[in-house]
Amino acid sequence: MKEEVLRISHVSKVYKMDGVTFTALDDVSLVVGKGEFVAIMGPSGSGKSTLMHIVGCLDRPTTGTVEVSGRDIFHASDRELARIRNTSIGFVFQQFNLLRKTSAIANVELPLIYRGMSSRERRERAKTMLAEVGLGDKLPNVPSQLSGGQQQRVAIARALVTDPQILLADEPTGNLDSKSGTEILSLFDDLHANGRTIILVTHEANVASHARRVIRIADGRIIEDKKQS
Amino acid sequence: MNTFEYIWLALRALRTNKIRSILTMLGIIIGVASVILLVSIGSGLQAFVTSQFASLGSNKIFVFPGETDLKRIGGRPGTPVSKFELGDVGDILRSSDAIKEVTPVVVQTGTIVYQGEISSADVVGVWENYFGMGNWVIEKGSIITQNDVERTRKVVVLGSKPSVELFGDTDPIGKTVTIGGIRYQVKGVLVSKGGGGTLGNDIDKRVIIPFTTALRQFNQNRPQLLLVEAYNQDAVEQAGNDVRQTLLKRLKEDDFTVLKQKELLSTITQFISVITVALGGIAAISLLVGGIGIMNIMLVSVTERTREIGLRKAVGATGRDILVQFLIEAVILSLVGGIIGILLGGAGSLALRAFVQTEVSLWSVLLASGFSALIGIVFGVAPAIRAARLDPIEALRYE
Repeated sequence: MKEEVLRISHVSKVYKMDGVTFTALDDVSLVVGKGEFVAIMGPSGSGKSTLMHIVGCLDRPTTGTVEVSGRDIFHASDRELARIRNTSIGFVFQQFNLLRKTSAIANVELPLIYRGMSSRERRERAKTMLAEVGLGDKLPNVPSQLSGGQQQRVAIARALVTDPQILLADEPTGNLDSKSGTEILSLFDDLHANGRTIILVTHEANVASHARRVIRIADGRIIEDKKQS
Repeated sequence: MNTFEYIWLALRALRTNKIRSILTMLGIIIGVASVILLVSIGSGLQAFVTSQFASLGSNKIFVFPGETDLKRIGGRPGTPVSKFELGDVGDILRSSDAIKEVTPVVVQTGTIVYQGEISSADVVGVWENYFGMGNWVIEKGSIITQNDVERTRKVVVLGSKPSVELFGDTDPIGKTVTIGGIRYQVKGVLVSKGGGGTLGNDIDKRVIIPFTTALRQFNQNRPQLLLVEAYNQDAVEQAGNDVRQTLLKRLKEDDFTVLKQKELLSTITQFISVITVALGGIAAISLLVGGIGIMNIMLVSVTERTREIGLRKAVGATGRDILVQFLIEAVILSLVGGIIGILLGGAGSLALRAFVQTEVSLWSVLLASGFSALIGIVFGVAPAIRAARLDPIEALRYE
């Protein structure tokens, strides 16, 4: 087995609202090794978003342990969680979530600001990363001057600029036309080829087909976990 | 993140919403400017009054009718009736080694007219010794003499203000003016005591007539007040006591009040201070309103930027990072507003110097800037805490 970047053991997440309990995740266990390209599939309400939030250190499980790069997040403080998100996780969202009226390069620099990195080094890294996603000529452009596909590339550059252990993408092509979507997916293929660990949450089979391993979730449980080529 | 980075971030955010930021600042700008302006007028008034009093000399004692409680500004309603008699003047003068001069005084506001030009001034009826007591210097003509007083002559010595207002460049000596419809001949003009302002009781805005003539003019038979001069400053205490003892032989304790000029000055300046603080306080209320404006805008801003906050948290911002970011935005709004307000208030007070004496005091500037920074913190904290506590998952979902 290769080096582990994510280990989820017997994780459950239970929400209590007005006395009604709702089990979003039910005893989920999962190990992701370095360099894997995993797709998590499931209909809405299946618990895949909850799983993603826990993997992304935005939420804690009710029971069970989650280790990201060997660090237990169950007992981590909010401050430590923020730190883990900053160093180990790179998020890509369906709606891109770029800061409006802010240049592409400044958007990419954002995570590095919270690291206390000098502005010169930030700028260098962000520039390199934007070039890597093919936007080396769009540094000063603000999101409204970029196409959807380009905006998502900026978002991917922002996610990767911290060199995270896990790239976590939530329906990254959901807001894109099919041509831009294909481009983004081939970018993911390239990243995977370069050894990135990618976890992709989607409900589209053609998107999931890019992954080497597909995990299906329904009613808070993993119902299928299979490798594909 | 270091402080500089936070400030840079806040400035960027404020620049994104320029108009809104400026309008929000306007509340603070107006508040601070009005505090500075009103306090500067109060301080200027105080300086003006002090300088005018100083020009009278500090060895004067005023004897007013009735009981005047210096601690109770405003006193009782109505002017107390004078019970002084002309004989008191001689009695007082004879009673003490410390007293150099005494004059009875009758004073009323009057309208002086010369060929259609009108001037409103204090019409002061006194003896001839008043000029020496008040350090008045004659610029042209001559002062009122004992002879004028004894013969009830209708002559007048003009203060510098009425002289300019009525005659301009013309030589007033020998001309005839009317005071309250009665004709007077101008005998002399006084040198201005300065002060420069037009606020309050400008001592250059007066005309002086013989005491006896004034009694007839105003249809009175008693001195309204007595003006006493001690030989020097050290004798003022003794002189004051002697005046009191002399008057007590004939009058009751509450028929008169002996006021040393120093006490009078401190009473008046105290009174002005109270007014200044009250005015400043009222202006400070508008600062408070400005602060509420900041809070309002920051709350709107937090709501508007919910997704941004969620994203920042997702990429590693701590609650503290978010808190400081929004707090600094609020503080910059109020502090920059405060600085502009200070500049505007200062400029306004300079502009007002054409009409009244003003003085921008250091304490009002420090107070206003400190207060505006404080307002930024106080009214910025609640929105900042709200931002810091946002759940990143909810925030990212926010539409």
